[in-house]
Amino acid sequence: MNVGVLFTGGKDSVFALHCALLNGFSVKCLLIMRSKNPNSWMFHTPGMEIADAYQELTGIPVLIKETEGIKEKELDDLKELLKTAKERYNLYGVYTGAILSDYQRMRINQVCNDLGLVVFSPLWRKDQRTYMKELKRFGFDWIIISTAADKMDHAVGKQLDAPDGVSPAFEGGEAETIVLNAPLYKKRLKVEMEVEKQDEYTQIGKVVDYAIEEL
Amino acid sequence: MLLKNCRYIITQNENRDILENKDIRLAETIEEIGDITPRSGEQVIDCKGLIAMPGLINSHTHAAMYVMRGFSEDMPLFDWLNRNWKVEDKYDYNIEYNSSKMAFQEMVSTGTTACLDMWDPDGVIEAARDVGIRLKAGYVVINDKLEEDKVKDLISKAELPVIQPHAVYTVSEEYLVKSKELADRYKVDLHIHASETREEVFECKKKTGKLPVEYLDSIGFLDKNVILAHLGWVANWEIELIKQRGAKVVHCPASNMKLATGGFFPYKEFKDREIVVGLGTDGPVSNNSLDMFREMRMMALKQKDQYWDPSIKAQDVLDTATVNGAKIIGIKAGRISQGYLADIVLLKPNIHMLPLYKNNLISNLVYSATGDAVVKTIINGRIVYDGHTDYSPLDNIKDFISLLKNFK
Repeated sequence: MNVGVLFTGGKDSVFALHCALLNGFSVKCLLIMRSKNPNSWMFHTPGMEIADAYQELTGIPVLIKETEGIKEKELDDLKELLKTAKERYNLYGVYTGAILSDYQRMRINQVCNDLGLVVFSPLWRKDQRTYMKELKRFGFDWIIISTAADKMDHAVGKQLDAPDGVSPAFEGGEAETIVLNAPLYKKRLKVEMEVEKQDEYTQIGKVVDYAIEEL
Repeated sequence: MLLKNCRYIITQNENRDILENKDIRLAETIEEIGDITPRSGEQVIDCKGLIAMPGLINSHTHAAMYVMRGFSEDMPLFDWLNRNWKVEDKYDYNIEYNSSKMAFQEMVSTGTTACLDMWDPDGVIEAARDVGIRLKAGYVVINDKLEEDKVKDLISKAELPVIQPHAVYTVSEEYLVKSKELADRYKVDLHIHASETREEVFECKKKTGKLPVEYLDSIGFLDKNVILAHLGWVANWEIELIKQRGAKVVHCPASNMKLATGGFFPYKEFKDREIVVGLGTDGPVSNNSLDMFREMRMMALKQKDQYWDPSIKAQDVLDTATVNGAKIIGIKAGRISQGYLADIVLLKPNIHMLPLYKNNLISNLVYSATGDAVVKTIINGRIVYDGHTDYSPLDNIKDFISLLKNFK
């Protein structure tokens, strides 16, 4: 049976990809929404400038859909992407890295329900501390690419545990991540970033150069 | 022996026929099915109102752990294993035998007629013989201990022999390969836990560069004589390898759920590729029941829910516990057909199973029945359960039970 993975290149969607593969499905595509709205509640924007690189890193075709990121209207763009993917790859369902955001989870389910796709969210309501420890232990190499929280002003470009008051997997949007290597990646990613400090809490890393290296 | 006037006979034959108000004549095998006149002096069992079905086959268990039921609760696999191992080293023949005897009595009293058991099996083999259940068992290779004389000895003692390397995380490559060589030399199957947790698969990937099934294949282990239990974290390219090599697989839904392994046994992918899928309870410490009726219900619910797909049928599940189980154990059983082993269970429909008619019979067995409906279990043409259970084995291991009771 064929599935796609809603993908950002961040730790949660990369982990969801691994679950899809290890659940025995044939993963036909990585589905990437590239939003122009950095404040979108639906889609992660940091690091999306290198969306094309994921095909080479994972060996799985990437489908990208641009969206203005306008609240609720962005769901129509998501629907279009999923519809194309379903038709092209005869998809049965999609995997997501949703952990605790019902805003994302329910909207994805709404769109998939309309299209006749089932949704697998293997991280849903899992213990975030355990998950973060396992990522490290299992060899997921990730760094923070943007922050939006107190006490994280030097975090971009590093792999850091969440400070007190920040949700352990940054589920409150306190930080976004980018995965450089993972157990089932075919190649490794190397990035060079420039960090833009937008306000006291917000720092956005922009990938200005990247390389794909053999393992 | 003649089973007269069976209200229903679930044959599990090619057409999955269900017969009504028919008779079964049997000796060690099934001789005849139909309207049969008793011979003079023949033992006749009145089966009016009863359901006759093939004995259930438990394709992965650890019977000797019966006495440890309820000992290690509410913890993940590796903590669970470590706690169990602290007391398992106290096991001796007496504990093995008596604990297994209780487990086998539980099995036959709930309709199981054969099982594949993973444990150092001297006492287990003896207990199975005394209870009358069919047992596939053999040497367990763990922590790189492999005594060839003992392997040979057990192959000669076991009714259905097997060699059992525990898992890729407890047995080195050298000993996995040795196990395979011995299995090929003695023409027996291999039985191994595989891809049970994501920890196991990612650790294996880190250590070997491959996922567990890929790794087993790369060292020449994966083959048609291999039975893989669990497979909650298996990739589709590994499923292809299982298909290509002709290995068989076993689903243990209750145990995986209880140990919270978070996996996804891809039944539909296996079925689509015609890979033989059996069903197992796993041991009584991780399930904690050995009742295959309850396990069938678990499998059906788990599979439907995980795939968002109700089309996985009660009939599919019954097949895993009967005809497929027989292929895994390696016996001509799992059906009520002429020439098949006379391993038959008689059930008296109880309140959980009503109303009952031909079209809902399989569903009611899988979703509603428990082993409590079993009134007689026949193995090899002999009644091994007739409503009576012998609890005395527990008295013989009182000291060990005290140890468990007081264990901190």
